[in-house]
Amino acid sequence: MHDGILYTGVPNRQELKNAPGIPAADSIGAGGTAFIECLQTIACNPCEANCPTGAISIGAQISNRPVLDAKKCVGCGTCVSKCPGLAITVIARKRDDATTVLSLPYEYFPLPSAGDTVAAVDREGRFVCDANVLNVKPMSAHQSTSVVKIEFPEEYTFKVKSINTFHWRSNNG
Amino acid sequence: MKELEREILIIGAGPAGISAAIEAAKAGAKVTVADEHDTIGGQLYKQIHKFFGAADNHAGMRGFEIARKLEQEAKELGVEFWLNTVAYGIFKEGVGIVRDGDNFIVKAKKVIVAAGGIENTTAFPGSTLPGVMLAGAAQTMTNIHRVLPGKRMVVVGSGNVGLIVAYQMLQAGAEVLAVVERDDHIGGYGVHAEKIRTAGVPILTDTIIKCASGKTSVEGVTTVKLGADGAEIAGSEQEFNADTVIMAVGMAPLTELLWNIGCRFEFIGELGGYVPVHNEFMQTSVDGIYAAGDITGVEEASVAMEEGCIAGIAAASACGHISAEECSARCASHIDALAVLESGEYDGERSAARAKKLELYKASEK
Amino acid sequence: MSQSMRITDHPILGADEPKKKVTIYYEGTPIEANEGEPIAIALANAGIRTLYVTEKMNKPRGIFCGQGRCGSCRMIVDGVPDVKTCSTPVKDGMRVQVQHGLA
Repeated sequence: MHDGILYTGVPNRQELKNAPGIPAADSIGAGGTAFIECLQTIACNPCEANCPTGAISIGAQISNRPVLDAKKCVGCGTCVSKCPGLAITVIARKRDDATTVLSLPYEYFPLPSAGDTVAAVDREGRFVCDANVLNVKPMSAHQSTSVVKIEFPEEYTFKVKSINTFHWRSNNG
Repeated sequence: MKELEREILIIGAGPAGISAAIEAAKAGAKVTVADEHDTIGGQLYKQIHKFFGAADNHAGMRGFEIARKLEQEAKELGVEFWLNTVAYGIFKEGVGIVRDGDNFIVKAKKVIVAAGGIENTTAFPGSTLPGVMLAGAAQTMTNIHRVLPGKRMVVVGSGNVGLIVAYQMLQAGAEVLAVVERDDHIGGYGVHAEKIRTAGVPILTDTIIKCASGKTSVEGVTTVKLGADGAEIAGSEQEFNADTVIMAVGMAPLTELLWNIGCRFEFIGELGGYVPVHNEFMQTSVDGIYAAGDITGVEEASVAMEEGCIAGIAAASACGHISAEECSARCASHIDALAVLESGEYDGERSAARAKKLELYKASEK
Repeated sequence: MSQSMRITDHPILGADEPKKKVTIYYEGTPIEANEGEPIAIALANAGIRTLYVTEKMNKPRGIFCGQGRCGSCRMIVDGVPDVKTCSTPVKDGMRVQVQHGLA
């Protein structure tokens, strides 16, 4: 069986490791770092154009994959709501209380509210753990994408990809 | 038959047609756009996802927002729109149209054909049942008329349209049980695939629909896996409690009008079939007839818009509004943009297909 | 599919704006429709999927291409056959009937 993004829609370990937009695990701090899961060469550059600190570079050949400079990234999350592919999250590791905070793009109803407990899911939509919703930035006008900030135990840092608020998906876990 | 005179007539008010209208009007031409539907924007209104591409050129905007912007811009420039107007043929005498139940021949100095594409279909037992529909129909129902075509869908085809329609059905509140793909890999962009996988939707490769069943509409779907020899693997059937099947199995250019006037064609599989050869200014092999958008080969809407801009500038120049030098200067950024859009691992082969069309155009000039 | 299929709220498109309602008659049964929407859409919302029945094999057909090309949605509307209901707007009081074959 083939694995990887082209065959399953789920990236394999090697693909994630080789993506120039994905920061090394030890460069992710408490303030948050973009995690750009853009694995293929597609002509697109809003992440680079909207990054306020110049942490993302693509260049004139916009089919290049975005390269993240983790040192310049301040974890502001602008790119999370700008990426047309919804491929970017921001990960922050709060080592003092052993939790991870993940800001993720979300374009489904119902949107959760701060304080809710939601199901955090992996890249195959399977339940990973309960997560606490810290904050929801709803989309303004049509153009942007809502950004949901969740907190969960740090052991699931790279496993959690999104959340599930659909009633009919609750039996997947 | 009644005759009408116009300077530039554009057939199709989709992304290519309106872009052409805007650029031609900016260059000083009098422009009329005819479309058989009652809205301006073509398929852009079905597209509620954000577009890829260059940030300084619509990337990040959703399709329907681009449609609104283009419509407003065209109207401000005084472009005339003929909606509910069918162009049925291009003849030596002019373009035959039916409008308000009446027949006309439109004598235009230049004609830009931006008729778009047509969806392919596939057949399986039960594929004619109500509840089996094309992706375009499902998108029109959901995103324009806001009525869900069903509650539990199976999508056939994992190209970008299939992946996007699956995502849009989830957004509208339907359940997507599976996306099936007869190839051994996913056809569309990985980011689109990842979105629906994360939402718990399986993408079943090497798989086809064996049948859809139901008395008067779809009540269930059976899929089956294919072996390396392409034959069905006995015992690999899977049942889905679906009420709707959405087909997204590719598109082909809608080329009848260009065949009818005698344009030279070439078969280029990557572009969806027979496509008209044209030069870098989108001029076909028939003098005064330009083509832009999916009719020249099925690609993304962002490509259609760039081609439209080029055709509009060139047609206005051919009418004498701007010089050939000015035409080349204005087209340059759009030609560059096409080269960028037709790069990358999914779209790179299209730049070779474009080069082939240009080469064949040159050969046909002799 | 008896309850309404309308999408009242949508994460991208927002809440549906209230529309003026009209009534059409499907085989004599009143169906509520939004003014200006295509006939087939109003019927789909009411859970009606069969619009046409083939002449020889008596097979049902419904919305297929949704843009007036394939003819799979043609019905008899106010006595006129072969009306493509996916792209013909409703009018108050309209009578629509399933078309059998060439009708």
